[in-house]
Amino acid sequence: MAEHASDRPPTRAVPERAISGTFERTAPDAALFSVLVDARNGTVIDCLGGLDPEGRLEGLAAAVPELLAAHRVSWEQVFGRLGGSKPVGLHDVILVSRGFVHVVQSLASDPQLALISIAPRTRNVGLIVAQTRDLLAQVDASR
Amino acid sequence: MASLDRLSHAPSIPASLGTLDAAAIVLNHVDELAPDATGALSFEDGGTILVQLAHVCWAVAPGMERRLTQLLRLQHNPPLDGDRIEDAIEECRRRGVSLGEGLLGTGVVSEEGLRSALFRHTTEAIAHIAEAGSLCDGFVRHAGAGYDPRFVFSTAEILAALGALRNRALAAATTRHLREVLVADARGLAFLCDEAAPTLCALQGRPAVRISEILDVSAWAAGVFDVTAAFDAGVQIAIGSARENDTVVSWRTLEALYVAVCANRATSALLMSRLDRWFERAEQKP
Repeated sequence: MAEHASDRPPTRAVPERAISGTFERTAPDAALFSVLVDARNGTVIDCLGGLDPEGRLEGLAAAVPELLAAHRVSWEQVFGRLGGSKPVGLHDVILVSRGFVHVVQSLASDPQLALISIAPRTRNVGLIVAQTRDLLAQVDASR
Repeated sequence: MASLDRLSHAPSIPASLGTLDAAAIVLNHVDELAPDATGALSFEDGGTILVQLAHVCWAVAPGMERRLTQLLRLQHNPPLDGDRIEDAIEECRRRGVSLGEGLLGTGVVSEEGLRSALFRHTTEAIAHIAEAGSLCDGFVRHAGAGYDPRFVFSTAEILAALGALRNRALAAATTRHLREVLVADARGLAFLCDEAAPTLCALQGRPAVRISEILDVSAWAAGVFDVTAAFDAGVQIAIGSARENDTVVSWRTLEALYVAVCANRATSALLMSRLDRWFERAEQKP
């Protein structure tokens, strides 16, 4: 089978200027690339470290409004949560390919912001997701 | 034995995309009824859908007068004598008992056979009502004990049965796949992906969703894979979670799109693990 582009390892480091220092950093993990974006238009607000595998960030960031909004779906009905006081929406989306895991999470403290993370599938998907949720909790706590 | 000229309606069900769209509109009339609605939806060309608690329990279209008899005959191999079935049906009418109670009481047909015949009849009737394009005349509520709950069908089941006719082999494969990978607490939908929008073709776990939500969820899932193509064309699985821990998992193959609704994140994690192994095996196949 021909090698798929998503099978290749990460190759590009994040430019230093992209790290603004808005949020407190944890121990850097080169295998997890995370940025904070505006969930309404995909604009990158802050880079939280890591390597951008093959420049995937731009495409993922641009897709965030579409991935999180899903305006047309009545998730209350789909999930059988009728009668609740708040509308039900998707809070995070995980995308798994053969080569990478992409995680998009909206901030509880500000749903107009989203944390997006990309990691190569060199580790268990569950561990990657757990790591991104820890990072989200830290970002939320720092705001 | 019934002669062929008594089978006044062609046994085939139309399964064009136009018919499926029209069937979705017909079934949407059922979905829009109140959850406690029991009665009859009538259509201007003479078609009727009987409804119990917003589920379909019977439908008939013009020209289908003998169709149930034919379908019941086919529940046996060799087929039963048509006159014997019609006598049993007439006896049910005379005594004022439901078809289910009456036919099962006579032993003419098994419960599974009766359900299968009623489902097929109902599905065909809805396809013919849809094809006729007739408008809904209105809903008349029925009082009384209602219909046998063993023989009611969700609108999603009926639409999936119609969609499966577009590619029976693939629909059967999607059904097997859903059975293989779905875990307890998960309800699954499978869609055929051909030149048109995803077409519902199989269900697992009786998802309690209406036709409009099925269409929206399939559009969401297809849209997710479309937008991910911009940065990773190899995305196979997408998992969306709500704050209440409800989770929707979607995955795709070359010919089909799947959506599973999971009650919690543990269920979706288990499903994800099964899917991971399934994709791994699928890629190893020559």
